[in-house]
Amino acid sequence: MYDTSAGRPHPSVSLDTVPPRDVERPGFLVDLRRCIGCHACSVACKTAHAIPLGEFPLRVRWLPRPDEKTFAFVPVFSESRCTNDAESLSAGLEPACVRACPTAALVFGDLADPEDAIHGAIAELEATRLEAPDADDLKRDVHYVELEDFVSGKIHRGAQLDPRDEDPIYEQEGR
Amino acid sequence: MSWTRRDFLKFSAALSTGALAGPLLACSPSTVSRGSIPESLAALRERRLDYRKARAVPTICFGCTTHCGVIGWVQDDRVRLVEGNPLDPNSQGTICSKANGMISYTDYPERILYPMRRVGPRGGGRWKRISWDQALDEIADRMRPLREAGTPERFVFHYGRDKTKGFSKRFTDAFGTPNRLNRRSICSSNRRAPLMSFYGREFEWESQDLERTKYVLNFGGNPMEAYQGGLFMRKRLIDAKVDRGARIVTFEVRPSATASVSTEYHAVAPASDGAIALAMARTIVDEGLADRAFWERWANWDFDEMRAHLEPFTSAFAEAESGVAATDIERIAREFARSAPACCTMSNRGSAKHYNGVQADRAIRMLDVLVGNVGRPGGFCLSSLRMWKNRYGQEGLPVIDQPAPRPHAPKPWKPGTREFETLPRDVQERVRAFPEEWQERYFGELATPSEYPLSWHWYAMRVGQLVHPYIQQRRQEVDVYMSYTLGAAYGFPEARLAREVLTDEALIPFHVAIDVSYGEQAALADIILPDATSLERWDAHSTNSYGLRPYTGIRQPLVEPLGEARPAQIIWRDLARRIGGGMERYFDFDDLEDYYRAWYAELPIDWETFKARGIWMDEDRPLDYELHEREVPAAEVARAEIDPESQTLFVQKDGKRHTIGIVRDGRPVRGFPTPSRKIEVRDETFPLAARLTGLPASDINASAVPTYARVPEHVDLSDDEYVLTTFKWNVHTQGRSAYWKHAAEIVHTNPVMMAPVTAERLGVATGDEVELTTYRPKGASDRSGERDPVGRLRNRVRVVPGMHPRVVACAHHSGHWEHGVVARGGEPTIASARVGMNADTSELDALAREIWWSKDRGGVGHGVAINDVYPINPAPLVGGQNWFDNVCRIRRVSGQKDPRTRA
Repeated sequence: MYDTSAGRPHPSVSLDTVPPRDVERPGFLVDLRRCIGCHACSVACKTAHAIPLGEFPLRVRWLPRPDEKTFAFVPVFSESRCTNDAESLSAGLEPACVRACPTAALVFGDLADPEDAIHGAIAELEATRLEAPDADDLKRDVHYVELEDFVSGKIHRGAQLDPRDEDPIYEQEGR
Repeated sequence: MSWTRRDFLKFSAALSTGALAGPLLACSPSTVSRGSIPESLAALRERRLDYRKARAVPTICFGCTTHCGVIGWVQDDRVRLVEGNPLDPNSQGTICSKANGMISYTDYPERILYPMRRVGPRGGGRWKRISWDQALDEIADRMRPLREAGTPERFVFHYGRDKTKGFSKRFTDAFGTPNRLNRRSICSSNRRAPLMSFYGREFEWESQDLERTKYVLNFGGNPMEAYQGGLFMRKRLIDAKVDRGARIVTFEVRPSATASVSTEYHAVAPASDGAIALAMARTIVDEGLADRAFWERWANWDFDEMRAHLEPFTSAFAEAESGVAATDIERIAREFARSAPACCTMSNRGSAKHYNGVQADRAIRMLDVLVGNVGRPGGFCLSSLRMWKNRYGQEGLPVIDQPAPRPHAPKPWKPGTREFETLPRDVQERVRAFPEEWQERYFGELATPSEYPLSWHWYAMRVGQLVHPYIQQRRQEVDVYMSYTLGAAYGFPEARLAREVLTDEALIPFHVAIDVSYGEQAALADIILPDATSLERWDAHSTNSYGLRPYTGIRQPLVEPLGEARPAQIIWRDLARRIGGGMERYFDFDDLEDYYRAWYAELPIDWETFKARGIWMDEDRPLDYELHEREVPAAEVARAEIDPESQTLFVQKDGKRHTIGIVRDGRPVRGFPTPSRKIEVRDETFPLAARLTGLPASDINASAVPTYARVPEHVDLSDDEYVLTTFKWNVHTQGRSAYWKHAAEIVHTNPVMMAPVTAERLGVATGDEVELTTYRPKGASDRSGERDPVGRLRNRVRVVPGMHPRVVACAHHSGHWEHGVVARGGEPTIASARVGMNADTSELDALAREIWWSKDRGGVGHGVAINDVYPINPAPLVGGQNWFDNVCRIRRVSGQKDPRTRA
């Protein structure tokens, strides 16, 4: 559906000839049908930007589904800490998190450019924003495909840790 | 200028047609010495990754057992980011979080950087730094006399992760010891044996054609997280489900990531997979959905006999065993069969690591044969696995092999040899009764335990968890024991026994550990040698491809080894030169790169291009469909004879018959690389092995045909008994990832997971503490039947909906007491162990301050080591550890929820 090879390094491509990615309004599409909760995105981001432990430009949540007996996986982005990976864009690459996603669940694009493929994808897949009443630092321009209703009540401080989290991962005190 | 995705596509197309001169990625390793002090994290944040200045170097990931082709970005002699190599046909350019774990362990402030020698008692944690010359001289002086005295077997080499693809074997063969031991049985031997029995030794793993499949039947496999060599399946499975509407049905005991993304997840009773598979087979046969023509052409078992054998395995029986509704079992069987040939089974440890697991996997494998999807588009395919040497399925590929000269492998311990005479009387008698082809593969009790002949019948999988008990029982005298990236002292079942043996200088007089990090195994060594990490060294790579086209890749150094670390190959070379006596001539190279260049001499592209691409594949080669139907070339047929009864084509070599094909409908075709050239659904090897080792014929493991019986200790489980199961999280890999900081941040604990109904019954809630008591197995396994508990552990509870109510699950990679500050959840490491590490602790202190889950900071800590309480429990004959059978009792220790106040 979307091309995932573009914007990635390739052993036969020199970046010298790739112009910078000029993005006016950066936006993400997160296809939750494809997310497997693997954390490749957040670890690539934290590695590329040398982010200290405890701080999260994005964090993948493992949320127990209320009715079914499985987990929903939801990458959550921070408005204040996610920089849209300026280093990668200036080299003509997609952001590191997008490049790291093994199942093409993350798509990056320019929401100000009507020609950008992300528009078609948002419309076609009926992607929606994550609205969470509690969260004060949720990245605004992130659109989710098949976002389950229960998720918004489980997002507390956006991407950052919160003792109210119910995930079996990122275990915090007393949980 | 605005640069859109479409422009990029056009641009890429121009590149691929060569319209633009493509300056390749840099590929020669840095020659600048990296010293011992990695740049501080603060400095790294300051000096951002500049992709235009950084060098991008392809290599092969070492983050887990999957080994994806990756590209590392190197800036200022430091690897800054690892991502996928799009040229890898297996990974399709994908990675997981563990790829960047390589950076965490390479730059770990508590990494071992210098050789160290023990001071004071073994295991006391006191060390002094020594020079490489001192270290290697001392080790060589210990090893040389063993070789000169003609007792090289008293040198034991035991590895955990060794991906040198035969280089370490060059060392042990040149030395002359057959005791090159591993941990295969901890991992996958129950999984490999059934496949090799069916399809031949060439196929330890299959390669399902997931790019075209419509229906996947998954028994206990977790390819989204931790399937050996199987993360290659993730994108293919998601594409199949989301883009093509394929169904993925998963049988598991807990809600894994794979269960969570499947179209159907059934929480099953542990070790009931075989019952489900046999009931499905029965449904398929009864309802006329089997591909009888395929079965009769390729299976070695009479169809009607098979049908009669399936009679007792009704879906009602399977429902009673597994808890899955009979109607679901029948429906899934129908859906699976009707999708043929674009359907496939998948299974791994969940089905196999049980007392009945070998037979369960054989039952699962039978489903593919029944519907005739083997080798077909979308089906259960087989693709070349190992280094290319013109083996089955490798016809036409360049030969990729270690450079000559190669040492001879040690000679088998046949009756009459000196080594045979060293064996205990009862072992001698057992071995004397073995068929000659087994005697030719027998090398003593550590390498080839005679009670577990199917651990080495196909190839030397060995029984790793018995190595230390056998040394304790003096079944093999040991003078020098060398551990290589092994974590037996932490991660083996009943690890405390391994520690006891490793600590006892009477049993193991000299222990050398080669590793990257100061783990529990290295802590019990006499000398520790610092290994170069996967970002600092060379390795050849090949494995089965889910792209169904054989490929090869090269692991190459992105940076120089930190401190005084050296690649293991160089360590073994220099040891061989010091030991001398002729073994040095197999290590006649100065530059490791020259050695690997010679290894790949036959590749049709030049070495520099190969390094720049990281991967090579013949893109015009047809996909590996139906290898068994490929015609045997006329020249080979001319040299062969035909066995009139079996219709197999064979040649005589050293007085023995080697089958090379089979005549089907008058055509000489390859068939499968089994002795009968058919799929050996029926395999008399199992009853033969049972008879020769005294296993009763009534034991499930003695059956020639796939069958089912409940795990002995699961029969009549009382109400207060549970099955303790274990697993790996997706960010972790065995016991060697707990110190990778980004992995540890995500998962640093291993609470006891249980279903809400289980917690209710025990009167506990999330956060409460419980005590688990474990017991010995009951079947024909090691020390089975002993009544005393194996051990007890205390841990916190986490209630997880979706768990099977009879199961509690605890991840096995937490609770380390070594591997430094990250693995220890912020607790400081024994100071004296640090003499082999970076003397400047500022970076370590900075990292320690970031560990927000440390107990000192009010955090939850780093979990509980659980492997001590698992009994050593090898499956009969094959020897794979039955990790998921363990029965335990659970007692509430403390918590908010008082059972007396429960309604």
